[in-house]
Amino acid sequence: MRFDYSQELEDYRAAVRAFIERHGPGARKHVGVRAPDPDQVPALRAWVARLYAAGYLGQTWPAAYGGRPGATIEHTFIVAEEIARARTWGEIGAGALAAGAVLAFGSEAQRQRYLPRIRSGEDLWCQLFSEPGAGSDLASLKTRAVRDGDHFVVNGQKVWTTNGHHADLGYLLARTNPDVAKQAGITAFALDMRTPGVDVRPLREITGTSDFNEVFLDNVRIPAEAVIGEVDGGWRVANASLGHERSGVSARAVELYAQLDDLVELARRTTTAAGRPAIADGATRQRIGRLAALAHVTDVMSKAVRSRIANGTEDAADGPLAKVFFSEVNLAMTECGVALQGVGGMAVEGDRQAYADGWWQDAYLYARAYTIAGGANEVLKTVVAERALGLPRDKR
Amino acid sequence: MTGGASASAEHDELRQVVRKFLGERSPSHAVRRLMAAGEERDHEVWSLLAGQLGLTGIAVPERFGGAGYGPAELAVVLEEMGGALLVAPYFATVALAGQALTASADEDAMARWLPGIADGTLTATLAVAEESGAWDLAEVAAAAEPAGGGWAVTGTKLFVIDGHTAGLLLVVARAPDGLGVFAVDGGAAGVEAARLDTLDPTRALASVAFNGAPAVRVGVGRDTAAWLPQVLDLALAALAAEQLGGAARCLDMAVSYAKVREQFGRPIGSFQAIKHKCANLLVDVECGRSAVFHASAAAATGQPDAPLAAVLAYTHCSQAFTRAAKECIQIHGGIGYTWEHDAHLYLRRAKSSQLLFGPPARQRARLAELAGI
Ligand SMILES: Cc1cc2nc3c(=O)[nH]c(=O)nc-3n(C[C@H](O)[C@H](O)[C@H](O)COP(=O)(O)OP(=O)(O)OC[C@H]3O[C@@H](n4cnc5c(N)ncnc54)[C@H](O)[C@@H]3O)c2cc1C
Repeated sequence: MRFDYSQELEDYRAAVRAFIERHGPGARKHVGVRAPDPDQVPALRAWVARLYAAGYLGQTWPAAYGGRPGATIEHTFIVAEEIARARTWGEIGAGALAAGAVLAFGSEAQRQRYLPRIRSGEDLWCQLFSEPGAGSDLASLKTRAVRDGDHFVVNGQKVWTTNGHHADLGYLLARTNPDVAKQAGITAFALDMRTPGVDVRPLREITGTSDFNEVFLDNVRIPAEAVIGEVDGGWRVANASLGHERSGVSARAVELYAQLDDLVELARRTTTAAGRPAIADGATRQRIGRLAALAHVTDVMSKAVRSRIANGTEDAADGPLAKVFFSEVNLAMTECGVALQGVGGMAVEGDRQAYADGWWQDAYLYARAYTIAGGANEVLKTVVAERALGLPRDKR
Repeated sequence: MTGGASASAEHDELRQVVRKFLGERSPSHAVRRLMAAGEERDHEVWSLLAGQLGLTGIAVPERFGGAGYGPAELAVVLEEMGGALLVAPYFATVALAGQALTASADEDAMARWLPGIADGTLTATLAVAEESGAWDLAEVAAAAEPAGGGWAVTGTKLFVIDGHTAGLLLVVARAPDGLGVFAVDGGAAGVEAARLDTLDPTRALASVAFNGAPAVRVGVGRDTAAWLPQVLDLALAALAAEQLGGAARCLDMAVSYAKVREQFGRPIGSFQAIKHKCANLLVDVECGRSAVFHASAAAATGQPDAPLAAVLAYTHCSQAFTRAAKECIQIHGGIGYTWEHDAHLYLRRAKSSQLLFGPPARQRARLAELAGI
């Protein structure tokens, strides 16, 4: 069985690639960075709008909301792959996630209200799910939303909110019923981030940059019409939209290939103790060979997953499995990139000794995010064991 | 957590004293303040550490003002300093320069500089690595020429620990009669030092260019090849001790967190995935402790297997520390990925220490050689 794309899809890929080359925002996305600098945001809003207008984002939406008739999930994958290949920005924030929720569960009024502004780049969204006490165990979230006439009054704290400092709207989960099973009392909301009582405070990550935030919610009033789906039905909304993150699967393989090329280039340019180029050194060749194999496996695996998604035979464990595998290969690759630089691997961005302006050192630190964000690997492995292998369930 | 690589009650006592001192004087916020300001040390802490505790003199012979202990006691101190990520020129001054001067057995040199090291008034370092960054004597290209009654050193050293602040630089260079160690005053004419931007902001590394810098030869009359390699082995063993301390601290942080962080209604430490991670780290740390103890004891008594023991300790502890730092982040989840949490400072220290004396591949090759493979 082969997972290659048809000629028609490959032609589509060429068109996407040409489009990105021509209209792309230019700014190369720095490795691992999840949020743009504030001064990049206006141009990136325009870029997002352009991608939507060209039908490269949101193409599988119903035509009534701007979708492209005939578009399939494979087209979506191709766009994500090409954006990754160009190492540029795609959609900023959680717009796709929010759109997925609104399309699947929202009211007609919500669709009319939110979708056009996602398409125009006017509204950037963030994902307000995780809390200090609720990470892996998301369903235990404590942020409270209490009904008050035609509003809900929300109090609590969210954390690790990527792009929260740029976001116009937040896709929020809050507890509306504390007296039922934890999954049964959660409601999803669209929160206007400029509502009084919303306090966004930047957090710095391991590299010193600020991509994510803590968000404090103090008596925040959300109109009842901003409830997405049913009151107390938020868990279903959230789970369905988390599944939408899967278009990243094949883009990850593209990222690994790009890193692999960089690694080979690095091995050509550095010398071993014996004074030969590292690429000629047996141990180095083996190490890079192993990583090349892993990158290729990631690629074929993601293509298999992609084709299963396309024909509706996706397994519930596919996403977690791919994510665990990618994140670990990615770690191994960044380790190798730093190791190949020998003692010089200590030098970072800004130093004259630094190779490629410290790219690998940053990548090495940022790589830790992928084993935690979007589900920690330990938890995902349990999911894989239970869903794919049918092992007895852990108490949860 | 468990005690340490202690041979005796005396070591335990030393460890407790140092741990308490660093707990009070070098807590995380103090480390971060120095780090952010780019300062090489807190002078008050340094003078207490040197004066009240006598730690700068611990491995200096008594007749030069020290306590007369050796690598084993130094290892205990370094382990604690590694655990606290102390920002100070201690490793460079005491473990590198101090031990180098002592190993040189050069009476004049010892009398001239060891008392200052012992009482903390002199900071010093040892400059070995050049272009390749490796601590490999065969790669030394810096040159020393006789000049006037002394010497003049020319060449560039890289990744010199505290090289831009040290009062005394012991420079490994090639003289017409072979490899030698040359003492250069940090402020001398012809010395140009600049701090490098490196992964670990808690340890200053510098490039130091020497352009005919006036120098005094150390170890005159003795074949440098007879004692300098031993200095490098002592350095490896010392760094391994420091790494061990870092690894043990990461394990401590991870275990403490795993006990209190609850998800799914129970401490995450109750999940086997987390238990096994912690247990693996403990295995690493305990093995590292034995390796460090063995290496410093072998170095102290000049055993023939001291070089092997040193590389072994360094290789193992490099791995143990990097692994512990990574798992510490993972076990902390999102919090471990923040700048505010200390986990990344340990990862930065771990990764740089692993590379500092020559990357793992080189160390493994040397290990194989020393093991007669
Ligand atoms: C870079 C980054 C960006 C993020 N962006 C967002 C965002 O935009 N919006 C948002 O809502 N969230 C975001 N997150 C949060 C992310 O989803 C959580 O960090 C993640 O779900 C883990 O939760 P936690 O950090 O609370 O760790 P915890 O759940 O506390 O986990 C700590 C450790 O315990 C382990 N553990 C927990 N439960 C089990 C179990 N049952 N079995 C075995 N091991 C277990 C974990 O694997 C981990 O090693 C982001 C996180 C990161 C790192």
